[in-house]
Formats: sequence, C-alpha cells, structure tokens
Amino acid sequence: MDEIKPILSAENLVHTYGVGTPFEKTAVDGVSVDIFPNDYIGVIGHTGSGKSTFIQHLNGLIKPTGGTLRFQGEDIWQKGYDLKSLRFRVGMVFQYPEHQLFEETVEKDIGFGPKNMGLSAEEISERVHAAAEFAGIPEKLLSKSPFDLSGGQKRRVAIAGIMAMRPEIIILDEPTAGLDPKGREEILSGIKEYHEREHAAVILVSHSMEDIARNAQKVMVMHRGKLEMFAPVRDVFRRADRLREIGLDVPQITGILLRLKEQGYDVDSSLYSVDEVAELILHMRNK
Amino acid sequence: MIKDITLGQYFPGNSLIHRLDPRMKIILLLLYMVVLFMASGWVAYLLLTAVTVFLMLLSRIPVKLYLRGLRPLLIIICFTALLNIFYTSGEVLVQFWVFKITKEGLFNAAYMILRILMLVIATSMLTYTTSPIVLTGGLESLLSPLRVLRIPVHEFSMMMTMALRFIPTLLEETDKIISAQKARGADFESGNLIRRVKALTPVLIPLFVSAFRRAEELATAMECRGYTGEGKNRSRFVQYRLCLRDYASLLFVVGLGAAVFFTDFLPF
Ligand SMILES: Nc1ncnc2c1ncn2[C@@H]1O[C@H](COP(=O)(O)OP(=O)(O)OP(=O)(O)O)[C@@H](O)[C@H]1O
Ligand SMILES: [Mg+2]
Repeated sequence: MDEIKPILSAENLVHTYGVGTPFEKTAVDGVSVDIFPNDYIGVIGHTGSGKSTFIQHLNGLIKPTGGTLRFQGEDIWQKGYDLKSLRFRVGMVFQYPEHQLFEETVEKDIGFGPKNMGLSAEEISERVHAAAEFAGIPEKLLSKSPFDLSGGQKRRVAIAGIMAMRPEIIILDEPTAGLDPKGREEILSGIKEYHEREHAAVILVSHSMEDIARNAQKVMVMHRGKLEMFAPVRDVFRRADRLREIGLDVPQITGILLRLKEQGYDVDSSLYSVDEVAELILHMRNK
Repeated sequence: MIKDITLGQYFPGNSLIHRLDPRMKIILLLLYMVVLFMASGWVAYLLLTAVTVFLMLLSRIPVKLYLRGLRPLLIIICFTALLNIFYTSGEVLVQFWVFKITKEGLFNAAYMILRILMLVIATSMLTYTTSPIVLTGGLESLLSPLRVLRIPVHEFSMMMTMALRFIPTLLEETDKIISAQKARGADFESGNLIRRVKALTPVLIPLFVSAFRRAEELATAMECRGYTGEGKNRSRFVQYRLCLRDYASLLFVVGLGAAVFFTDFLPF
C-alpha cells in the first residue's frame, strides 16, 4: 500500500507579533503537525493560546517568523509560490464570518470566491447552489440581501461562501460561537456532510468540548502557543487532569464517567459519545 | 499589516515622565519648544542636547523607538541642513564652483538639525508616555476656560476620545476583513488603479456596516447610562491634581530656560 502523504504539514512553526516593539508576543511557539486528507481535526485551547494565529498560517494569510509550512510537500513561502490558488484549496472561515458579507444578494456573496477563481457563470451557479445546500440555506433566500438575514443565517451564508470554492481543506474558527443549539447542530452537520461527501480535511477550532468530541477524529491542544497534545480524541480526553490544569475541560459525558470511576465503578472513561455511554450504563444496570 | 501604522503611539510604563500630570506635560512641552527656539550658541545647544538625552533615558522608552519616529523626517532634515550649509554667508572654509561652505553655515546646519531632532523627540515623548485618552483629558481640562466663549470643549474632547478609542479597533477590524476576503481570493495588489479601487468594495462595505453598528451600540450604551453631554453636574472620574513632581518638573524646565537665556551672556 502506498504511504499516505500529509496534505499540509507545519514544521516547528513560530509566530511572534510585534517583533522589535515592547508589545512583542510569541503567539505560536514551535508547532509541528501533519494534516492528512480526510482528517477531521479539532483544535482546543484556552483564550489567547494561539489557535487563531496558528490556523491563519495554514492558508498563507500570515507569514511565520520561524519554521516552514508545506502544502503537498511544497514550501508555501518559497519564491514564486502561488498563494492565491493555495487559498482556494485551503478554505478559511474566520470567527464571526458574517461580518464580511458585502454583496447585494446572498447568491452573489456565496459566488464571490468562485468568481475570483475565474470560473464560468454556469459553474459558479452550480457551486453556489450546492454550497447553499450543504450550509442549509433555503433556495428562496438566495435572492435576498445578506444584510436582511438573521445572525445564524448570515453565518451560514459566510460558510457556504467558502464551501463554494470546494477547498480540499476547510478550516473553521469557532463557527458556532453565539448560536443557539439548533443552529450549532445544523452548522456542524453541514460541515460533516461536506467532509464526507467531498473527502475534504476539516480543522475545527472550538471552545465546546462536546462539539469536538462528537465530530473530530484527532485533537490538537494548544497551551501558551505550544502544541500540548496532538492525539486521537479518546486519548486526549483521557487526560482530564492535564486538560483542567490548562483551563480546559472534558466533555460532560466524560466527566460523568470519571466520577463513576472515582466511585469505584469499572467503566472505560475514554468513551465520549452520549450513545456509547447510555448503552454502557444500561448494560451496567442490567447486570 | 495595517496595524503596524502607529498613530501617536503610547507605550505604557511607570517612569517619572509617565506619571506626570498630562496638563503639566502639555505645558512643559510648549515651554520646552520656546526654550528650543530661544537657544543660540553652542553652549546652549550642548546643554539642551544633554537634557534631552537625560529625559529620553528617564522616560525608560527604548532609544530605538525615538529614532524610528525620526525616520520619516530624514529627508526634511537633510534638506534643511544642506540649505543652511550653502546659503549662510560668513567665513569661507571650502569653495568650489558656485558653492561656498562657511563656518557659520556648518554651525547653523548643526543647530538646525539639533533643533528639529529635539522638537520631534520631545513631542514623541509626550505621546509615547501619555495614553491618548489621558492626553485628551488633559487638553480638555486646559481648554475648559474657552467654555465661556461657548466653545463646546467637552463635546469636542468626547468626540476626540471616542475617535482615539476606536482607531485601533477599526484598524484591527480592517485587518480581519482584508484577511477574510483574501481567503476568498480577493486580490488587492494587482491591476490598474480603477481595478484596485474596485477591489476595495469587499472591504469597505463590511467596514462601514460594522462602524455604524458599533456607533449605534455605543450611542445606546451611553444613553442608557444617562449621558447628555456637558451637564451642569457632570463630574469626572479621574481628577487631575498637580503634585510635587509636577511642580518640580516645571521648575526644572523654567530653570533650563533661564540657563539657556544666560548662555548668551557668556564671554565665549
Ligand atoms: N494582530 C495581533 N497583534 C498582536 N498580538 C496578537 C495579534 N493577534 C493575536 N495576538 C496575541 O497573540 C496571542 C494569541 O492570540 P490568538 O488570537 O491566536 O488566540 P486564540 O487561541 O485564538 O484565542 P481565542 O480563543 O480567544 O480566540 C494572544 O495573546 C493575543 O493577544
Ligand atoms: Mg481565536
């Protein structure tokens, strides 16, 4: 079998803001990770731990002050590298993305990325409709002004705008912040669907351990700019003590299992999905 | 990045100069400028240079930062220096073709350079060591006598304070929007002028939308807290009080002025 190559790899990435001023701050400090096609990676970390700074390196929006970043094996900061087309292949959804809408209609706004790619009108229209479907935007909204939508709908339009470029990697910075539970669920399932149907890698920054537990396969834990852990979800949430030490937590369900364990029950605390745990508890009762 | 543009930047600190009363600092700066223009003769300039260096060290702000502030003025400084060197008549030192370099010219050029340098450094010192909000507070307090002439000093100062407060926020916001649109392949760098101006639409529209949203939120918040402009009973949270160090610094600058004035009567 062929060895699978990473699609994106960061090597000893360092980013210092404000070099040479009294405000100098190293926000990302020696992070190395390999991201493979079809990965779904969750990124967690306390406020100010450097998550946003790190992910903005991945599509070349900020230049690292140290280390290298490779996309399909090529250093993206080498001379003559086409950063613009990299950005179509590594899609980035910023925090509060609804603040960047600007077109007259939702349809045009979602089509902004594809238009910049130089696609034909039919291709653009096809992609816009497909992306709207992923993001759960009803057809009838497409002709409306994005400024007339609700906050949650705007957020979906912004996410669809990235999906319409059909990136091979999609990076989302807290896409569900400030939404109601239903809105969160819809956005996350839209992302999952995109991940599965397009075989795209996903990198999801979130403060919700539940969202990470339910969606991601691997988790990056950032702490003061350093990569504290990078492991499959189970292995990360098994280390509840360390997570709590650095201001994070485990999903509630894992918390319950840990408490059960403390009480002397023999449970596997690495479970994190509600269904698995429900089954386990039912099973224990029937014994 | 856009955020690197510094507008009268403030560097927090706790030096003696940081702690001076903002009103006193403004007055001292004005006095210092007067002294600078009074100075003549090398003794006076030597004294002033020494004092300026002393103050720079006292402010605990890296000298590098003062020098950075001077960079944009380099051309002006060189130009004035050259003019002075060649257009001052007096004892000729060197002569070639139509140019004459005189001893007085050299001295004048040196004085001119020093004068500009010290002027810029002193002004930078004020903005480096005083936060913009405190600075406007100080200005408002100094200008408050103008209220008798029905000049709305308080309103101006409030507007100024808010503008200063939101400049960094808007710059940050602009940075974010530019990044977000770049992530969608927006191109701000290539094409002719018209194309580039057009390329700014995806940045300007969200920026205006957010600026208006912020303005509205701020206005609501201020109204909720009962702000009605300069009311009769409006008091300030921060009360400025002159203390010993303020009077001492005033004495210092006045003393410097006197010293500079008397250097004129020195026999050399
Ligand atoms: N443009 C900037 N200029 C200077 N410092 C910055 C800038 N952006 C971020 N920082 C600093 O870098 C550090 C990391 O910030 P970053 O935004 O990456 O954190 P984060 O993990 O995304 O936090 P949050 O969870 O709050 O979004 C912070 O200390 C922040 O103050
Ligand atoms: Mg962030």
